[in-house]
Amino acid sequence: MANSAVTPTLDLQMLAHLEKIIGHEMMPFLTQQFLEYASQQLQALQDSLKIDDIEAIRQQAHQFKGESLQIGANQLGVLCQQLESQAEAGQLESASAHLIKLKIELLHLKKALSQVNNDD
Amino acid sequence: MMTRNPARILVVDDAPLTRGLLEQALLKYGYKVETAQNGQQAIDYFLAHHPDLILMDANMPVLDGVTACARIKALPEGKYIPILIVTALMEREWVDRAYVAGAIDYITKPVNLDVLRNRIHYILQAKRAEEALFDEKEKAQITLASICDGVITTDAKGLVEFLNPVATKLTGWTTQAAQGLPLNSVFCIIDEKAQQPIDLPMQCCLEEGKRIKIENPVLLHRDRINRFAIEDSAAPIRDSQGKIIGAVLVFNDVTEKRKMTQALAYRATHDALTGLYNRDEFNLQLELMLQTARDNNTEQALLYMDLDRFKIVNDTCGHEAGDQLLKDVSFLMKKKIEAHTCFKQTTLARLGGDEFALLLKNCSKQKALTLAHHLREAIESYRFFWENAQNEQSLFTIGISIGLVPILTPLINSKSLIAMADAACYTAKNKGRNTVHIYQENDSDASHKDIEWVTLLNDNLEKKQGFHLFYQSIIALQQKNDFILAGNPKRCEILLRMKIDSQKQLVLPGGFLSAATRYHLMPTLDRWVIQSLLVWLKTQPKFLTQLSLCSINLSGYSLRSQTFLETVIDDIDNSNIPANKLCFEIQETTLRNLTDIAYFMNALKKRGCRFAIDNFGSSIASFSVFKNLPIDFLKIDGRLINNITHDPVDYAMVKSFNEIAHQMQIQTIAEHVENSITLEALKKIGIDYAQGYWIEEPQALQ
Repeated sequence: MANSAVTPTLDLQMLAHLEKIIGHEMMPFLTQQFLEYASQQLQALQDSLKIDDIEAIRQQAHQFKGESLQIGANQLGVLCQQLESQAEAGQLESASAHLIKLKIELLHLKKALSQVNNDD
Repeated sequence: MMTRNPARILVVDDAPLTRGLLEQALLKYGYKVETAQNGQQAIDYFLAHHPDLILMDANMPVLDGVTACARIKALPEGKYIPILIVTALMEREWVDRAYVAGAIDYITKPVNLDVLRNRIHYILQAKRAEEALFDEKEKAQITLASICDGVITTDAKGLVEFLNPVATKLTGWTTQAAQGLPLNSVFCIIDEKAQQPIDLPMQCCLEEGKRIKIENPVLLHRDRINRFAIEDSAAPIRDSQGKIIGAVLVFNDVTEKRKMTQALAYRATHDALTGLYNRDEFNLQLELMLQTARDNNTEQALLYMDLDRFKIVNDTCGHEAGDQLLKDVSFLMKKKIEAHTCFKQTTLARLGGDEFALLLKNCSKQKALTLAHHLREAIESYRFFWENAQNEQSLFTIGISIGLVPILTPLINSKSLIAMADAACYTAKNKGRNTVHIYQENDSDASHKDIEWVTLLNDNLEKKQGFHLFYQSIIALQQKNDFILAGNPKRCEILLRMKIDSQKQLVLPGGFLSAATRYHLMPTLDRWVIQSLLVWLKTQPKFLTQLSLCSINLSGYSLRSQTFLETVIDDIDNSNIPANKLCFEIQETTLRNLTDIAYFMNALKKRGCRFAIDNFGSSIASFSVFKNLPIDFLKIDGRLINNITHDPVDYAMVKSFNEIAHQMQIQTIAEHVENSITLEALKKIGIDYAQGYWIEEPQALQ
């Protein structure tokens, strides 16, 4: 878990970059949209794991990674990347445990995002 | 940001959040945005809407972005669409595959929207520049395809790069087939005259940068059947630094134009009836032959031929029969001459009527004589059959009289040569027709005296002091005639004299007029008189003010020549001499064919010129013709005038001429007045004016 030590939950610079482009008023919608997407994606991953659909897990993890990194949820992105790599390697032994890490990181992210929004 | 229609961008990503973000951002940047969720949707959308740019994620379910990119690029309409691939930072292999698939560039995820903005901006700018360039090129190609000229371009080595449709039509080569071939193997031309292939000097154009143009008529030689008369030029193409990067050849099909020119040239040099050369061309060929003969010292011969008994055919069967006979005879002579293969250069011409001439280059007297006899025999044995509209049949035999002049000394002039040949032909006729006569210097025939005159006349016309003008005053006999004009009005007749170097005295017209008439020199002489007089009058303003009437003699040949009339009108108009001071004297004997003469007179009358009838009473003395002609003066014949003092009949005639003339408002002039008794008698009769040696001898114009 050496990576998690240096990877922040939320990349504030990325968030500021997005805000500059799409506008401050759009930010709550964006974060809300992401959080809804994240919980849906987490559910989808759990469903795929139940039926051992490795390819689905790889794709879902890949997309989840991209979306996370795009809004600056860097730690979540790292975790998704690890899951994607496991799926590519066909090693899903620790996948269940990894999903729990994702859930916890999502809680951290929610907290961080609400802090950012409350700063206004 | 954009001044024109906003560019339409298709965003393709399976991730909803990123897709939405990219869409939002690009909308903010001023683009129109559509979205798709995978590669397959992207292809479908592209086919339906042709966006200006596609921004596509690489790694997508259903159909990945790189495969979709490759498929779109493979479509004909997808060749120029820029596709920007979005890929994760670690996915290096996707980047390589994206370029292979034809992507214009890639951008990494997570997407930095500022970087994206710049990258899209530059891609679209480059695309627009490329489109503008493509439009220009297309426009240039459409222009080249639309123009009527053939255009071929080459590279700097002279190898073909492009042919426009006209060039393809004329050469038979397409751009595809001709590309890379040397220009001269695609554009094959031959010199029309020499019928030899020639090469365009492309080195001149490509290495020295000169424009080239082939001046001789050339044919574009496509194959044995397809040959086009063309005009062409080639010019170097230079780049913006002035370096030659190729050449452009422009040519057009002038087949029709050249045909027309050739037809016109043919008509100008050939006799319309027989197809033989005409008189003008014959004279030209004769001149040319004399020039080359001077350089080469070779023997030539000239035949002058006149048909015998042609007039009988014309008179009994009409012109149609006459024309047919001339055509038949021409054909027969042509065949005979061609049969003598030893004559390489011949010019057979119809000079007019039933007169023909044949020029034989590099030909001895003996060979020419043999041919002349063969021609004579052929014509003699020829039978002309004619059936008229009433089915009446006639059969004619004709003959030909030939005058032959061997040209041993090329120093002789062409006019004298023709006169000699004509004279020899005349002798042949006199010897009993249907014979050949060879011209000899010491022929005693009177016509040979004429030839000397013709030679002299021609020589003198080219000299500055060959001829001289004289004038003789005409005085008023009745007081009333001078009261009309104030001062001391001058009237005179202009007379012509010829200079002969060997003689002290000038020659009077009586010596040379018959030769000049016979050899068609009268219009030339008459014009010389008019022009010289007008020039002289211009230098004498004082004389011109006093001058009331200046009388000039004209020959009947001049009256009937349309070109003579035109040149005289031009001469008078250009001289600024008042035309009413000029009077033209016409011989009573030439008053035939009144329509032509009336036309001539009326044309000059309109300008103010006056007319006198000369030598009236020397022949038929008919007043009736005067009714239709605008005549101002009647000049009564000198022989009658000289007789009035001792012959009562002549006296009565002169008296009655004067009375009738006055009734017709015509004034009278007595000529050749040689003594005072005559002058007094004329005054008494009422004659208006008189001239003669007793009044004043002719004076030279100073």
